[in-house]
Amino acid sequence: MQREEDARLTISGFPSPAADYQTKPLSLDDYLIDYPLSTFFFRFQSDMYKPTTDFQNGDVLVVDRSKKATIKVKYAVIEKEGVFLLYDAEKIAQVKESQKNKSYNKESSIKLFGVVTGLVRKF
Amino acid sequence: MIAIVDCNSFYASCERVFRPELRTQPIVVLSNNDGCVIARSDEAKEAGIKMGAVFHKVKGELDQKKVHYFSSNYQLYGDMSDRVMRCLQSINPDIEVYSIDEAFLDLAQANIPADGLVEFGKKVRIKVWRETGIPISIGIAPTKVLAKVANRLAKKAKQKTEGVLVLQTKTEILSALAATPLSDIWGFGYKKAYKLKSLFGMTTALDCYNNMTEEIMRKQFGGVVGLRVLRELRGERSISISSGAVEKQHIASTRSFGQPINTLSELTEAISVYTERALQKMEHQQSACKTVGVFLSTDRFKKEKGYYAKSAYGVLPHPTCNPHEVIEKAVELIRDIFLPQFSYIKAGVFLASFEDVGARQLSLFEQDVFETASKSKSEKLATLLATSEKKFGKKQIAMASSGIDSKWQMRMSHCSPHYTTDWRDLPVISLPAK
Repeated sequence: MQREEDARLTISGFPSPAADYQTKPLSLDDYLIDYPLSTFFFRFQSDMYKPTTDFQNGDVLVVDRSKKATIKVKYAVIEKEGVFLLYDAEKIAQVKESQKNKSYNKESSIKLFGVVTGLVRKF
Repeated sequence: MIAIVDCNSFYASCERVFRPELRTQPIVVLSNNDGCVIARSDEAKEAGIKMGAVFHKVKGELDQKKVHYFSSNYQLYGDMSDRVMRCLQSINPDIEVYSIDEAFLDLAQANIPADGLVEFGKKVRIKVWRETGIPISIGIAPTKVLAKVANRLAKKAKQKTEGVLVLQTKTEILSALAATPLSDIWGFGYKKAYKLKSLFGMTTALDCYNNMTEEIMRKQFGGVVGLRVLRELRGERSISISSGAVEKQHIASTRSFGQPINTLSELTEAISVYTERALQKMEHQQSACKTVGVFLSTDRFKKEKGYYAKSAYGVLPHPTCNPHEVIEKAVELIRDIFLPQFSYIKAGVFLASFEDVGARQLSLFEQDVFETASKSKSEKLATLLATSEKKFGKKQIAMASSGIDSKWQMRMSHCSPHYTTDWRDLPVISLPAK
């Protein structure tokens, strides 16, 4: 609404033919974040090297707490022994399997923090 | 029905979202300037740490009992509070945010069947936990005062209630009131409770429910407000959801300094910043103030250096929310009471005599037409400051008298990162070791 007014305000002669088509400019927030109140950002910083991973040190991960770790999920944030770890689909499946087989040890309690829904990298 | 949602040990819970290993550890949070304990997790309460304990006196005990301590990280608590409130609002749009960690929900439009309230409460708890990581307790009852009673009991017997308690039938309400001491009734406090006990021998909320008359309540216990509390206690809605939030009668911003300050220029700087903070609080309730007060104090435990504390008040020509005018007044006042021979450890600003910004009236002598150029300039400046703050974040632009290098800034040596409000402070994630 505001932009529509701006477009009108800045033109003194002919009304802008674009005025009726003004929409919100693209927003990376909208693109990356489905649900702002449950979305948190994490900084990727790992000494472990894994050639297959999608992430580099310094990357910002967009993490949604409200999402469940379903089969479709590629990466999830796990709380384990006081640190946040990035689990891939394979690792998530492993945890699920061990929980099913009851070999899952409650003491080492692994908890899901949220699901990685996006990645932000600056060059 | 009305629900009150209360975040459990809110500040400690915020810290725990990003330090999951502390979920079972005792935590305390310290006041501004690391002065004293202002929040405790249940574990810290059990460890015998007292509310308001002076930090430097109990530090040894905290270390020995392995209690984790944090400086107050209001950037984090504010953001987490906002998330919780928005989550609640998405469940039930009719919401009154009562404080940083409490909100009332008016369930009138929610169409929840009488036997579905407990289930509803549990769903709210799970949703807030899933989405924000903050644990909450919920009390549901016909009035605000009774909802508060329910919430307190829900918290007390967490194991049994799972954090949700509904008071609906008369039996439920009466037994809850019997388990509630007078001083725990919302809006009562120890003074009223003591008076009720000494005059009438009352000890529980149920005594008050059974034996108090509206007449005595109104005359001796807080006038109309007291009367409303009594009616609410008896299940009659008397405090509405929207107007229930009492606007503050005065707003204060006072701090202890990181180290004593003794020059007028430093003191002026500090006062300007405190005034800005107080104005931000005032802006929240959309008021304008007419009275400005300041105070300063030396260390009263170091009397050998001489003790000096003084306050001063001034009245502005018209109610305003313009930082320029208010800061000017505050600085003028502090100059009057400043004595150069002392070192000060504390100072503060009070704002009072509020008026709604919309309902602002011009006084007889203040003629709108003749408003000076300088005044409109300062109002423009105020708008500019407000917009720039929204745009660039806090403290990028400040009044010249606020100074840049602030020696008197708060002591916050145990502050956790601003996980959600500063790109440099994001929580770190790494790959598992195989």
